[in-house]
Amino acid sequence: MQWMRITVLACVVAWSFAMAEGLDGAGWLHRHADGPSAGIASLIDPSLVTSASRTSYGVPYELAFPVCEVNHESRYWDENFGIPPLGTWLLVRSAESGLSTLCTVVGTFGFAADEARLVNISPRVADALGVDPDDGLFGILVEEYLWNVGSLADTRSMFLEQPQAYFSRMEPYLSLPNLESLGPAVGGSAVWGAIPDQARDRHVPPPSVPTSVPDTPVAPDPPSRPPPDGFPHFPWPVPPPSVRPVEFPREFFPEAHTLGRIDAMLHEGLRSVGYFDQSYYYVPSGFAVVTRLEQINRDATPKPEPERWPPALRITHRWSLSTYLRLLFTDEVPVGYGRVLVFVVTDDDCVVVSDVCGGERTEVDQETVNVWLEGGIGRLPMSMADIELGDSHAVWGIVYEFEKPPAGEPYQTFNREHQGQNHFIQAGIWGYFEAR
Amino acid sequence: MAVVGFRRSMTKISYPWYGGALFGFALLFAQSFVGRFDTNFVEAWNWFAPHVVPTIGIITSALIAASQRKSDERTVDTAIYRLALLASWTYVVFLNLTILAIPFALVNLEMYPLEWLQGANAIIGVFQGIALGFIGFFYGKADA
Repeated sequence: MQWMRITVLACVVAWSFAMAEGLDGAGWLHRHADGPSAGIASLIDPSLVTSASRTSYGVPYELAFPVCEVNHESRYWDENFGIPPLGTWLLVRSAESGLSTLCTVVGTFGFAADEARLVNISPRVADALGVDPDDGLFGILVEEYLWNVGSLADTRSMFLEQPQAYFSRMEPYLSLPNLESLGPAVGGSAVWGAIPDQARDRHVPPPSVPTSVPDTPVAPDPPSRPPPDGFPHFPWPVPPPSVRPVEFPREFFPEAHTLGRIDAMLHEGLRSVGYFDQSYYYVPSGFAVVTRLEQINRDATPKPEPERWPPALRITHRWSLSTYLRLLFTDEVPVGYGRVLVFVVTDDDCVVVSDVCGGERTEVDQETVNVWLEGGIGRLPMSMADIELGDSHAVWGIVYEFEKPPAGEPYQTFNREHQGQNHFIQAGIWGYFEAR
Repeated sequence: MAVVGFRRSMTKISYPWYGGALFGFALLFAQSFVGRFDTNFVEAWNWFAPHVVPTIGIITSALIAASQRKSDERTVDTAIYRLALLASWTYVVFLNLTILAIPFALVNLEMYPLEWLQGANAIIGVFQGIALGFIGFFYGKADA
């Protein structure tokens, strides 16, 4: 008898039974009868599942195959067999509150000789993210099931030669009573709501979350709405800015109870100080607005029009005798300064890439910010405008500052001479909101 | 044909060269002192010296030789003298303008000082060649 360990990278959800008009096991089988595994379920003897356990942890949802990052067996599958087709089989399991959930598995299998392991992603999180099984996106929280399974003596050869069949042979286990014996989702909603920060960093293996179920149920967070179709995602957490992000006081946005209202205020404020080009992106539980790359002076004030909006950063100077003499008889090197402002409205505490929040420390360049401006949409989608702001929602001002040296490409600077707030003061935005 | 005295006209031609070289020297000295060329000030001097030193050497030796004559009755065609003088002034003015244009090169052309000076060599070389040509012609046409 050989034990198999199966790691399934999984995602997401089609729907939960509670939400999907009472779809039951029969519904699952029916749905799946048209799939590639139809007719093979009878090969498995459910009685050979001897034990099961489960852990939960977070992985970056923006990764197509999050667990690939931490599981070499998955890579093995990925490299050798490619990605199994969506909907290869479905997993029926108990979700929080004991509700059964239907998930579409899109991941890959690992392989080991002594156990079987299955990973899937919480449908609740997937729902919150608005993940569509067909678009290949993934959720944040991962549940990992570890099953000891017997009677798969020929699995290794099937795994190597007939991967599709191997997938299919796991099906019966997914509806076994053993699964129900696992009880409700690990940690219940407390686990769903607590994503380990470290797990946001795709390069850090996600830590395990204790599998004990809390005695006192915790009320789940109100579900946030998925991003509308076509609403592009902004890199999250956002790449390291030039200065610390500035949290705009909530008093700046009186009576703003929805994303739409706060967007209107931001939009009006930005336009009033000359930022007419804006690009909108989706961020968790909110949105981001990117302004156009603008040329600024050393003191962070904007250059006068039309120097303010060059197609590319360049060196500009207001000529005077003192300027001329300084450049002739000192070692001063003229530099062009530019910046891009990004406003982020979110309830996520981790806005910026950091050691704590994780994320990739990519340097932002001029091309990147130009792509940001071109890549977003022109306004906040109507379907997001009526989303209520929670207490934890905040408006963050983020600055990416650049220097253009002579005979060189612009590069991002960090902590040059100004605090973040000074940029917004000099741009006139802070004053606009203060004066309202 | 109008003529001018060789010694007197040679002295006048030396003015732009001495004056221009002194002005350029002062500019470069000040710039080197404040670090305009960073640590590459030697390269700046290497750029400047070949543009003035050879001609000044020729002019100086000619003036010394003329001064050692008891009487120098040589004359030169006025037109040739004027052309040599004009070419000399043009050259030294252009040479010093190149140094004075460093701030504009930094801002408008985004060229560092040495990069700019070396880039200007091609055009300066043309002016230098014209000036030297007229000075040589001036010497050759001096009648005893």
